[in-house]
Formats: sequence, structure tokens, C-alpha cells
Amino acid sequence: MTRPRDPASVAVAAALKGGVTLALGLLAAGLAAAALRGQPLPTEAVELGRVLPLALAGDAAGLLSLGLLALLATPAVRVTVLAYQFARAREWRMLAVTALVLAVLAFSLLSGRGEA
Amino acid sequence: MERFAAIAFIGAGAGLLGSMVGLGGGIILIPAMTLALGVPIHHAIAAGLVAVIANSSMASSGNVRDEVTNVRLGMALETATTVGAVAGGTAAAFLDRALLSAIFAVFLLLNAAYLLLRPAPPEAAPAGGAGRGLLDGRYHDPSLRREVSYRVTRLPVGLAVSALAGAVSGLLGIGGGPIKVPMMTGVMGVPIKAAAATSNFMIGVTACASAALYYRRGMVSPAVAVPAALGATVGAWAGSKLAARAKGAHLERLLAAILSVLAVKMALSVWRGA
Repeated sequence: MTRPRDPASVAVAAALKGGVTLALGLLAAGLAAAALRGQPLPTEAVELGRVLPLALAGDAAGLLSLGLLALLATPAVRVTVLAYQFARAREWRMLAVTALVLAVLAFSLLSGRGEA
Repeated sequence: MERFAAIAFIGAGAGLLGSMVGLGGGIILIPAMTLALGVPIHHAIAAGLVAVIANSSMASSGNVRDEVTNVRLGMALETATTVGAVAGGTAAAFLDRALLSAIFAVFLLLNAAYLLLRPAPPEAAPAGGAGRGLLDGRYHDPSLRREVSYRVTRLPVGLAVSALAGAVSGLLGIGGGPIKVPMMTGVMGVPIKAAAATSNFMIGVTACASAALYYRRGMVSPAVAVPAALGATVGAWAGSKLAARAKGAHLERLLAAILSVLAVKMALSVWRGA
């Protein structure tokens, strides 16, 4: 008899697959927008505050940057999904572990620009 | 357009070779882009991180669903890898390009040595057996036709080594698998399949921690990262289909030779001040 799947595993697998699918879709849209307008691909990603407005306007740089951000966010989303699953299952130690990882990820995203 | 195709082709080759021998594509992708196409190393590292996230997320969704990945162990070790990755990513921004290239060349040689010298993974699970610890795991192994249970041991050592793997990942834009997998199998009592799946699972979050830093610093170039990620993803998918048919030992020697050549070329480029 097969044992039932761990709900956390099922949720995480779905989050990973969904995130990559969304990201690839946005990247494809960005490439199509650039090709249709005869634009070269941007050499620098759009700043965080301007990504969504540009993407919604169909701008190639905005769509590509949003796709890249969706890809970068996928692991963070799966950590968040895990945190929710651990909270539901009352696995408080694992919830604390995932919260710590999320805090480090948030720090890396929100820390200021450094010099290259 | 030619540059897009060239980067995508390099990414596909890197993803293909890397997935067939259990290494991430970044270790080939990054030096190939800098040497063949003159991509600045910080941009190449950022693109490598993006490609690693794409590959890791796609590959690990299946392993997580099938519960080969030890999600709880992965999360515990990620507390260390993410901190290491932030430290490595921060350091990379302040390192001179030549020094970063030199460090990468050394790491290429270490990876080549790892491929040539690593022992064949044992088929059976270690004798630790099942436990009831929070991080202990179990999964069904189709090749053994049974459920495999194992106890996870020496977590403090695992955390320390994971922090190092994270720092290397953040500094050089690679996954860190050659550090984490031997650590999990040799020190923590995790069977090779679970160790490889768990390492792959962790790589995405580790890369995410430092990739966010690179994005904030304007080092993620869509013109480089997009074709690299797309090519590496396709290559890794193809590699996963071909891996079962290929003779692992031949591939490992081929990849070790490629990594060694790349290491020498990178070292020479640093020597000449290119």
C-alpha cells in the first residue's frame, strides 16, 4: 500500500513548477515584444519600482525584467509555501527555520545598492 | 541576435553536460561566456545564478513531489547556505575582476579533480536505518524496489559546510553541489539519491539569496541572463533524458578536461591582464 503524499511536498512542487512556467512565459513575451519592435535586448534590468508599470505597458525591458524577477522569486515563494504548510501542521520548529530563511532572503533583496 | 544565439548555445551545452554528470551548468557557463564572448565576469556570474535557479526549480519539482528530496533537511541547511550566499555575493561586488577570475580558475580545477577522484555512489542506503528525528527521511527507490529510510546525523557540521557552499555560490555564481552532496553522503548519513535531490532543491534558494543582491546592483543583464537561462534549462532537460544512456565515467573525464582547459584559459587571461 502506498503511503499518502506529504501535503507540504505536493504544495512545494506545484509552487516550483508554477513559478518557472510563469517566468518562462514572461520571458517569452518580452522576447516577442523586443523582436516585434526591432529592439535589442536591454543590457541592464529595470529598477524594481518601475518593472511592473513597464511590463503592464508591454515594454520589452519591463517584461524581461519581470520574467527574471519571477524566476528569482520562485525559490522564495516555495519557502513561503513551506512556511504556510508547516504552520498548518503545527511544526513550529520548521516554521521558525523557514522564517529565518525568508528573513535572509528579504535582507538580500532590500539591502542597498553596492559598488560593482 | 548572434550574441543571443551564442549565449543560448553555450548555456545549452553547459546545462547538458552538467546535468549528465550531476554538476550544475554554471561551472561551465560562466567561464565560457567570459572567455568566448567577453561577457564581464560579474554579469556572467549573475546570469549563472539565474540559470541555476531555473534549472534547480524545474528539476526539483519532480523530486519534491516524489519525496526523494528531504525538504526539512534542505530547509535547515538553507539557514546556513543563504547567509553564506549573501556574504559571498556581497564580497563579489567589491572584488577586483581579475581576482574573481583567478578564484574561479582555482575552483574550476578543484571541480575537475572532484569529478576524477570522487568514488562511485553506493547503491544501497547507509546502515543508519530509520529514525524518528525531525530531519530524518524516507523515499521509495524504484531501482531498489523498496522504501529507503535514513537518519540524519552531525547537523552542526552540515550547517558549517553549507555556509561555505553558500559563500562559494554567492561569490562565483555556481550551485555548490560538489561541496554539499559529498557532505550529506559522507558526513550526514544521507543516501546519494536523496543527497543529490536535496542539494538541487537547496541550490535555488541559495542562488536566490545572492541573485537578489546582483539584481539590486544592476549586474543582471537581460541580454545575457535570458539566453543563458533558457539555453541552460533546455540543455539540462535534454541531459536528464540522455544521462541514463551515457557512460558516466567517460563524461566525467570529458567534463574534467573541459574544466581544466577553462581554468588554464581563465588564469592566462588574468596573467595577461585581459
